[in-house]
Amino acid sequence: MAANFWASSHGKQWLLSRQQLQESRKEDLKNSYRGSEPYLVAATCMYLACKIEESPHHIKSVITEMKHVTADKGGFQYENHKVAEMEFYLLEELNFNMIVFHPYRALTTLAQDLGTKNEDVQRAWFIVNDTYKTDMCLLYPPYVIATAALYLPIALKGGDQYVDNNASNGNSAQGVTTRGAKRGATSAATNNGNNNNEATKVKDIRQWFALLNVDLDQIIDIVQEIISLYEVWDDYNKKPPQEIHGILQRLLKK
Amino acid sequence: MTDRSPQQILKDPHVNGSIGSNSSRGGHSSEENGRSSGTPFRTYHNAEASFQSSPEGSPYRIKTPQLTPYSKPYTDYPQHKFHGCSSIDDYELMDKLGEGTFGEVHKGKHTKSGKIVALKRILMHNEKEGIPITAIREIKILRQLSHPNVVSLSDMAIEYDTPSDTQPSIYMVFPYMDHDLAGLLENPDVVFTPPQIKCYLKQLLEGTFYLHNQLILHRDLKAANLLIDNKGILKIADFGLSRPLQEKTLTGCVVTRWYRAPELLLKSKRYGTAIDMWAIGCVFGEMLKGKPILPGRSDIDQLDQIYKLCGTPTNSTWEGFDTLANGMEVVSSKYPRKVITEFEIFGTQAADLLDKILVCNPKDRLDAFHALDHDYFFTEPFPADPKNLPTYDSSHEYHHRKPQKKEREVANRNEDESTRGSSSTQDSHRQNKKDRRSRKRSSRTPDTSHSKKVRINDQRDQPPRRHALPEKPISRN
Repeated sequence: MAANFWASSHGKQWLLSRQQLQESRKEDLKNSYRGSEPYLVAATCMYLACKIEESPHHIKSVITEMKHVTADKGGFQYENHKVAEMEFYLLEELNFNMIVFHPYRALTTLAQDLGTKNEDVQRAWFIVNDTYKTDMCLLYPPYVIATAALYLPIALKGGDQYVDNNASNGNSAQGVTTRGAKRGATSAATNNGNNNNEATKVKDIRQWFALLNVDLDQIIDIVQEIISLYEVWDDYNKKPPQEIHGILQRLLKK
Repeated sequence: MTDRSPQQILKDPHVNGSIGSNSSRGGHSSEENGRSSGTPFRTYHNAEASFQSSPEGSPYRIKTPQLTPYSKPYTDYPQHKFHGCSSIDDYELMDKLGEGTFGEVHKGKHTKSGKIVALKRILMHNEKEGIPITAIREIKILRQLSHPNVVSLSDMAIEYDTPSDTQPSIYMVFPYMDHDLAGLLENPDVVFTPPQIKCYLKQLLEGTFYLHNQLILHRDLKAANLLIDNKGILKIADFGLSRPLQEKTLTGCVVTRWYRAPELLLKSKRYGTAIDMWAIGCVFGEMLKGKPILPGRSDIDQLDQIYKLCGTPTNSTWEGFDTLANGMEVVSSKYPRKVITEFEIFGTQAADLLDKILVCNPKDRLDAFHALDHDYFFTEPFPADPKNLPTYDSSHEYHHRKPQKKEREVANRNEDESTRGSSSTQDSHRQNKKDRRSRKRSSRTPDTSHSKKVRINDQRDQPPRRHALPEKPISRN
């Protein structure tokens, strides 16, 4: 899309502060999402998104697919007109703001400029995918999310290409690893191994991030949030299923 | 500190934390200046200036997530988000401004602010498939655009209690514009001066240049879709057929016939911005002459009229011309080109500009940028200042058509009555008046009385537009 992000309805309407986000969860929605059937919403979202992005699918095929997917999870008993109706409510709720910028394009451009290795871009891409499961896309502009996603694999891996950490900046990678995921810890160790021979490249990567015209505080916030997300996921798998079930039950009762 | 190199700065421990808050602000302002930059990070490499202020601390320190509101540099946007859509109850519906295949347009008033608006109702063609993709496209494109010569979408409104339909109606809300160009041209009290024509054409080209720069094809430019307000500002409207420019085959069933470019009439599936330029040429000629210049009665006749004016293209003037006309009955007669002789009375520059726009070969047709650069706009008389243009009573094409319809009804009634042998003098007087008026109007309405609004009118040649529109067959990628 050729338009300017900051002039777009995404920039104007869909970026919120945390406070705004919480408020809107509480009251602003005309149709509370707790009152709507999640499968129906999901199918409609898919159908509408395809239309918006210029690759339309027949309403029937979306429903068939949805039925197939939910076959062992309770099924999907809605027909054409229900999805069409839901589409209408969805658009109303969105106030017909359908322009959304994604971090992916920013990510590829940034990665190209930096000369990132393909595997790191791939990893960053996965991280961007994961951010969609959080509020981040509503809180930060997409290109900042892309930058953070790109920063994370590079910092964690501290790989041989862009490496580093002789001097003062050791705290960058280490800062992340101590608070963050376990794989970071191992990578930090490998970093120390190839310090000396790559010292010249250090400036490049640091300088590159320094020269980005973005708010580093934002990047840090996002990185922190991503790491917290992975921690939560990790915990979730370890918790006994009964506990999770209890939490969900409590949520539903509210 | 400004003249330090980045390396020096990085070595200086005190400057390390300097890439913070004010850099993002700098980024936005420079971003807003960029006209068509789709990438908000385009300015990331010139962060030099942001090194000036330097709070202490490492740029890479990890902070715990804050629960206090994140301070954003763009606070001037409305705070109430997620409010959903307006209701039609916020607006008071007034008289009808127009109707057509796209739906109805009503004049309306925003009750709270008292603003006069135009409300365009989205027509549901196929309720089974939900909201038509064309409507979604139109809204998306309108939301994306921001230019003084392109109509702006100010709101969306929803009406729940519709009397007949089961589905609620959706209205698009636009600022109200006093006239459309077709209405003005039909208004006998309005005569355009050359500076006025230049002023309108310039605005039209500027708007089109912006659209094409944003990779949007309008695909339905015509006098009736160009709105003009009493401040002399022209705005391009009705994006119901427009779509992003793509390397795909597109449907040829676009643009009202009189404004259709030859490549469309020859059923080319790959066309570009040149089709909008052709339509602009037609509008320009219409402004000069005061009536449509190529009023074809059918697609074949339209092509014939184009060849009569612009000369029959050959393979030498238009590469691949022979192959284009596949299946189409090729007009055999060879006409010479006579655009310049036809329009010379309106000035040599005007004729020259039109001669360069109305070129059959889309590759040789002038684009909006070069048209704006033409001497026509830089020779006397210069384009008028929009502020100094005369103001008129509201003229819409629809209102000029309306009396005609009524007259037709009256005429029918008269016929009925006359068969019963009771035609009053008053009626016959009205009949005469109608005859006079319709004679004046016959210059604009060649086909049948309602042909103007029917876009792809010739049902024998082409399927109606609505069925032809989803050009890409739905498929899984």
